[in-house]
Amino acid sequence: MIERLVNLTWILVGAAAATLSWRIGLTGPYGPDSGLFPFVAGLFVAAGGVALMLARSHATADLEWPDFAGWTRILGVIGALAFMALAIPYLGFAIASLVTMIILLRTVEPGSWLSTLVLAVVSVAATLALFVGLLDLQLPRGPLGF
Amino acid sequence: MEAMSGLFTGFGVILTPENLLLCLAGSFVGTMIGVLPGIGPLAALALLLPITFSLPPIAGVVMLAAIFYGAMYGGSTTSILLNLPGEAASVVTCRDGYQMAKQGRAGAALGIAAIGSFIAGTLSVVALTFFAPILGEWAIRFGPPENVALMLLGLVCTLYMITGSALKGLVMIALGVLLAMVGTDVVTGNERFTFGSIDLSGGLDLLAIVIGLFGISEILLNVETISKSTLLADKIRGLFPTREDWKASLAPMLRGSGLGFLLGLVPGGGPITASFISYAVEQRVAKDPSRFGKGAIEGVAGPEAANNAAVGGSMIPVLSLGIPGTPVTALLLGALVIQGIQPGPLFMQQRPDLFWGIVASMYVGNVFLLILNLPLVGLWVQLLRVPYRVLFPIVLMLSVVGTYSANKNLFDLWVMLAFGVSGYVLRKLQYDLAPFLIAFVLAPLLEQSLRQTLVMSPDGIMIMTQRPIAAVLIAISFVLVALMIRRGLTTRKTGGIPHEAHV
Repeated sequence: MIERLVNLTWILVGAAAATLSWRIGLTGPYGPDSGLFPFVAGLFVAAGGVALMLARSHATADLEWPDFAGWTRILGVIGALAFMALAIPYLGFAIASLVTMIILLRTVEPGSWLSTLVLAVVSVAATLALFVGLLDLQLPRGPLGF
Repeated sequence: MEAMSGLFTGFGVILTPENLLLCLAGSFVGTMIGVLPGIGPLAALALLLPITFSLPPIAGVVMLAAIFYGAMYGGSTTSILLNLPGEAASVVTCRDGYQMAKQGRAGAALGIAAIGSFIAGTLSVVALTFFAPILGEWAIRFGPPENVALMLLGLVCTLYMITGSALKGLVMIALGVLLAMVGTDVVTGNERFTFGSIDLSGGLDLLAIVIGLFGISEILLNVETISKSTLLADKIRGLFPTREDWKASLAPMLRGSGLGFLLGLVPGGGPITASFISYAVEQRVAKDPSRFGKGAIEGVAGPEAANNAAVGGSMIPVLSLGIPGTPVTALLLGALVIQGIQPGPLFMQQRPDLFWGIVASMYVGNVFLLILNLPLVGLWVQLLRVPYRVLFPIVLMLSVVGTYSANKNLFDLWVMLAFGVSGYVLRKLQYDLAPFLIAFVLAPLLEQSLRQTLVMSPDGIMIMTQRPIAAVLIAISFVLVALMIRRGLTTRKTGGIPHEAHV
């Protein structure tokens, strides 16, 4: 089911890219225009999607998806990263990453709350020390000034 | 002679306290990554790429290269002590290495793996030193038409490194070309697939894509299952091989070195293929093949030598011609691009300091790695006791900061996340992601060279047949495509880098 959806995505993305590229223009006075390369690539992507849809021999054999606990951990990681990308502008890097670390540590193989907090604080502090202290990188600051 | 003077230049560059320290740090981190099951060298390089940004190009690339060959060294430790490959090229070492450990010979297995890796690594860098300038001399005659032919050959060679379904690999190549076109066309000023977004007008960030596709997807695969294994590391003694061990291992090491170097040169060869073929060869030439799989030291010495020698071999096409033959070298090529260095045939002439600095660093790195892997083996054993739940959030944090730091743009974090999730799904569906990366890096260079070619040619595309080097490269490409079609777009079970070990 998911494989068919992915194949369909290739067809739609490839066809859309080829159409948009055609509108940009394929050739100009000095050879290829901006649309030529993406047009050809789009056609290949769409044709590949059609071929994968038709050719059963290329379907994934013994495809296994994770169990409920596995999905919980995966969604925990994705959710934590999405939270961080959303929260950085409002909370600043330090607080956003601390909360993200707590989400990550509680979702994947959770330990005690104390070890979670200690590990979260230590790893955020180490990251800040490496990037801000050592490599002199400016990271977004939050309302508390860090 | 040119090689020797170049090498002296390289040592002049590398033998500074800062570069030596970075080479040591890269070797250390690489070994650590190789030792730890779950994070392969490709994912690790992707995740650690941002740390090298604030460094000068030579220091950054030296550190990345050290991480690569350090991971090759370290991979054997986990194979021998845990029966889990630290990285995919050490899969075959599990067979006899773990059996040796069970028989109380973990020290001998670890010792022969480290010494074999050192001998093979050094021999392959010696070959790289003398072989690369010959290729570089030939490459100096390249103009835009030859570059077009070379890029096409690079893309065609990518077909040969596809693991699994070739059709899926082709889709990945086309998708790589397509996504490389997102942004403003620098020649015409036309916007391509930006949909009015300022974030997209500069194109998709290579680093965010690499970290997402290879790093985040690897972590998502790893957190699927949390496994526990038995560590056979209570008593490691006798790291230095006995006379009998030497006698049994020397020939496999030398055979593995030669085989690994040659396979490293070939696109789709690389460390994994080299280690498997070396094991098969040793089994074939052994007087008693039935010992293999039961703790034969040749089954550790040959493959470990081969996978390390392949690292030196795989550096030749990427440093001399700008064509990566393996996913890791494709990432190193990407790192050069990010550092503002134009990879390609003129790289050796235009940046001899960088080229020879990398070569010299490999000599130095091999010595560091021998020290790290023999006297400090106890440290790596302790590292194996650190739970994965402690390591992966730190790695994730590094990847987020690294992605953000490249452009100071939060949009890149979303790109990273999107490619991470896509990479996870595609890897579950057994898509080989390395061709995507190679196409993404090569496509803009190909487009630019093709435009230059057509501007300088009164006969249009026919100029490709009028220039001998370009014509030969195009002919080779046609032959390779014809052979591929003849073989059929079938599924390959070996070759290339299938998936990094995620256990």
